[in-house]
Amino acid sequence: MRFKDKSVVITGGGGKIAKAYAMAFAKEGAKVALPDIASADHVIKAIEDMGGTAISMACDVSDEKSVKATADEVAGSSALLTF
Amino acid sequence: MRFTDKSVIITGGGGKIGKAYAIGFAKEGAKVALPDIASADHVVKAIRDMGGTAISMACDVSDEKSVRTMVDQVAKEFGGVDVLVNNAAYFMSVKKSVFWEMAVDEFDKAMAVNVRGSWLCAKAAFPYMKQQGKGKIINISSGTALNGGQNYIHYVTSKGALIAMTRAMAKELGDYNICVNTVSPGFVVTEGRQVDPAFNASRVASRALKRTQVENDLVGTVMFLASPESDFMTGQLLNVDGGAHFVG
Repeated sequence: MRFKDKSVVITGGGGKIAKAYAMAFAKEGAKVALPDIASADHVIKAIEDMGGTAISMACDVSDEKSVKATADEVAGSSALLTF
Repeated sequence: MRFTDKSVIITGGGGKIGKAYAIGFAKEGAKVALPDIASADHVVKAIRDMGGTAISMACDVSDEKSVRTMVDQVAKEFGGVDVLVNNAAYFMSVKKSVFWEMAVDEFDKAMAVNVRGSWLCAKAAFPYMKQQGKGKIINISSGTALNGGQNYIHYVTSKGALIAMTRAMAKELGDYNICVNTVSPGFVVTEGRQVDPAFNASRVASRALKRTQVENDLVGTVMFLASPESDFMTGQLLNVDGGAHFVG
């Protein structure tokens, strides 16, 4: 478990490549945050089904206010924010 | 345990960087073979003391017969060869001079050990990796190949050759599912190595990550290239020097 309790943000987390990253990090113990302009709920479900921890939120990475809100939400929901 | 029961050869395994790789692999379950022209017995002992499996043997990587004997012995004792780390190098005792004053014998020695030696080890390991349908070869180059280090053109040239050799091998070995990659370390201050403090300070200042580089800084990258996590990477150069050079 190389990423036990690490907080990992994967932007575009609802996409297929990002899902692969997310699953791999979750398998190694990471808490995974998946901001996406589309829904990443299916990835959250997949991670939670295997006993992992994941959150998602709507985020437009081209918009500073949206990005900052995402970072604050992730930091507030985890002990450590690791980009 | 990412390397449980994998057979890993680390040439020059008696040196300080070779030892760091060996301990790293052993901690992840690998059976480690440490050929060296000098003794690697202290590394074998360190690994056995922590419950791991390691062997060492005398080997001159520049000599084909010596290399073949070594690889055959490893394959017989460990049941194959999964990973080869071409770490052995003519470096610590190189005779430095401007290139126009360098003796031919000195130049040839660097080529014989660093270039021919890496090729010979890969050549000897290939049949075993082919048989297994998979393999990993990691060639250790040097940041000097990127910055043209002065007064040891034979060493710098040999390390540049390894980058090119990696690419040529990668093309030829792809059909056998064998990955070949290069790691280029920066100026590594191994434990106990006496270095000019002013020179090391200049190296540190050249980096994005401003600290002294030590042998353990290389271990994770080499193990990544030896692991299934890098199964779709081959022919590449990974530069591990704290951001002194930017490659790619």
